[in-house]
Amino acid sequence: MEVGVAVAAASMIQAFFFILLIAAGKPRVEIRAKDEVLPRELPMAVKPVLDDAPLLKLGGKKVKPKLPEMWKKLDPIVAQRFEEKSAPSDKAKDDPKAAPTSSVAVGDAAAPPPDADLAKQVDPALQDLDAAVAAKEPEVEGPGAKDGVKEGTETDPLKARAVDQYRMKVLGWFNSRFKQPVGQIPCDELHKLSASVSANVSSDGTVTGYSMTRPSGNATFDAKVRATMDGIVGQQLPPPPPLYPGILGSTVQPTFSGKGAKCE
Amino acid sequence: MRVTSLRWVVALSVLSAAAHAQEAKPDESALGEFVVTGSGSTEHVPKIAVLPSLSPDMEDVVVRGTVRRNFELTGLYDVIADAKAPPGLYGFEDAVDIDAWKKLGAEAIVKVAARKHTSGKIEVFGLAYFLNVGKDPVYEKKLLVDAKDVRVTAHRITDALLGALTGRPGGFASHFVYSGRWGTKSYRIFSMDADGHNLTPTSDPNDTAIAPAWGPSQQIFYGLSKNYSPYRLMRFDGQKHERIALPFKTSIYSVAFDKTHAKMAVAVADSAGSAIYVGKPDGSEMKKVSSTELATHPVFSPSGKLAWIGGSKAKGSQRVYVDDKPVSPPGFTAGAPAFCDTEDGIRLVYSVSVGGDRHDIVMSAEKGGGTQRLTQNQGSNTSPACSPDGRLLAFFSTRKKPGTYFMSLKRWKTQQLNGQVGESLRWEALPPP
Repeated sequence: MEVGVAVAAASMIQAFFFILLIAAGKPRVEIRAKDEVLPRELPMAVKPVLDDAPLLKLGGKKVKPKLPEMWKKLDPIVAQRFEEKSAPSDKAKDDPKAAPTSSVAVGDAAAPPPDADLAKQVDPALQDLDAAVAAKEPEVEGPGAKDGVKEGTETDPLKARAVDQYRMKVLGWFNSRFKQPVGQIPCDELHKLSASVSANVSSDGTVTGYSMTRPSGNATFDAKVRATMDGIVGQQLPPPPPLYPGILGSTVQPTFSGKGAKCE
Repeated sequence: MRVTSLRWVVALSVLSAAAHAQEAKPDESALGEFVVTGSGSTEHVPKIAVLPSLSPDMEDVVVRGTVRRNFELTGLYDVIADAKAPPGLYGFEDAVDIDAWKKLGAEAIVKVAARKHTSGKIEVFGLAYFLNVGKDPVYEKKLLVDAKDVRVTAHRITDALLGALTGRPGGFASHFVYSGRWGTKSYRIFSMDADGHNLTPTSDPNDTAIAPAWGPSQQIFYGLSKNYSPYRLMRFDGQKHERIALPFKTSIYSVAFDKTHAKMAVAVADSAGSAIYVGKPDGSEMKKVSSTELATHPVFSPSGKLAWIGGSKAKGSQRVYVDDKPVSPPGFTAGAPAFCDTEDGIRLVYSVSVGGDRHDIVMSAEKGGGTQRLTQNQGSNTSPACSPDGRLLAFFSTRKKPGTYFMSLKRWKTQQLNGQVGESLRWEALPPP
């Protein structure tokens, strides 16, 4: 009897325990996660402060100084000359006498470019210009050069040649210092831009200052021209030939043009 | 009328250099406007014809050969080969077939000729034609000279023709002086013409003579040591050698003169090393100008700047100093500075040790910067010297064929002048006739 009561009591205790466990597994109260407070974004100015302390030297091997490689001048490019050639054409006249006398071009020979050295056809605009020049009176009296032009003023062929050679030297000097703003301005637009500058030159040929006499109107191009001229100020132009020291005046007038820009 | 040697006798329609150089006011409109495109403008090498000669006379052969070689050396022109010369007459007074040469692409024609004159002298003449101007010469010069002066006259004709063609007279009427080894122990002073001819030793073979330079009145100044005594500054006027009185008892290592020969710079040994002093060519009014512990090999630039090789025992390598400031790259031992008055402005040229007992020649702006290397992997190249017109650089080289070499500063083409190798090469123009 006592054993039966003990077993019954123990079974009840076990049953109560299991019921309590089941009841605890289904809680009606939910514990909510605490919302995280995000930091508030506040704009602020940052002023960098340079560290006055010198940077410590990193150890390493001794760097051996190296001379630049020997500079090899490229051979000058020989200008390609084009000669007059004939080719079959639908527009040819039906007259053997009108046949051209020049040699016949080979099958797929390239047409000469517009700026070929030997131009056989002159632009109408140039013909107009020639007519205008022909109407002008020579500006210098007396005998002139065989290939002189009416608006020409130089009577000394030696000086004219020296001036021409010196102009090419000065042009090359400026060319080597001007980089086209390719990639910053659309190519079609860049080709149309030009800006004129008047640079002051001291007696020893040093460029002392400049002013932009005719800006291109494009801010990027004008900024490039100004940057080029800023770099040129303080540099010495190539000296004029000793026999004609006066051909370099107190100003030079370069016109920076985007026409030569090579866009890819 | 007696005519002294090298006197100009006849000048037909001469457009003289002096007249051109005396332009007073700058011509503001000469250059005009020019268009800068930033593209590297290809350099135009004009074709030029130096007319051949069929004359068997020695003077004619010498004059024409010299002028033609000079034009080739400048690197300024593509000289049309004699083999392409159009058939015709090429005598002293024969007319030039302008049209025939024009077909060969010549832009200018140079005609030089020489023949014996009734006076016993040699008549030399030179003409220049621009084919775009016409059939009349743009330059013409005729000279009457002694037979011994034919070669130098050919150089003067070349210089005058180059002046006519470019506005910058040539520098072929000039000569060298240098110090060369004599036997195994001593060094002698040698002089020679700019074309390598007339090589002449001038100092005693039993002494050691170093570091020569051209001084006033074409005198050669140099350092001389007898029996290991300190080097003394000497002067050779073509006849006799005499010592220059200097207020120094130590060795004189080298000497230099400015453009007008009014200033003389000497490198003097002192207790700490050596120093540069500048004074008058007679050795008076000497003042110390260098501040480096070691200072040797002074040289004046055409604009009056003074360069030398300076350094200290502590720093090791020696650098080029211009007006007491180092201008050559640090870490390289530099030597033998020289200045070149080139078409592009004044340039500083010097040699740099590159290891293996070899040197290379580099060029920079007058005050340093923009260093360019002129020689590489071609033996040891030392003692650069520039022609009076700044178009050619001469130097000694131990390349495959050791000797004195010319380099065109226009085309960078190098040609051997002769087989002479030495030290302290100096190049100076001959005085006007």
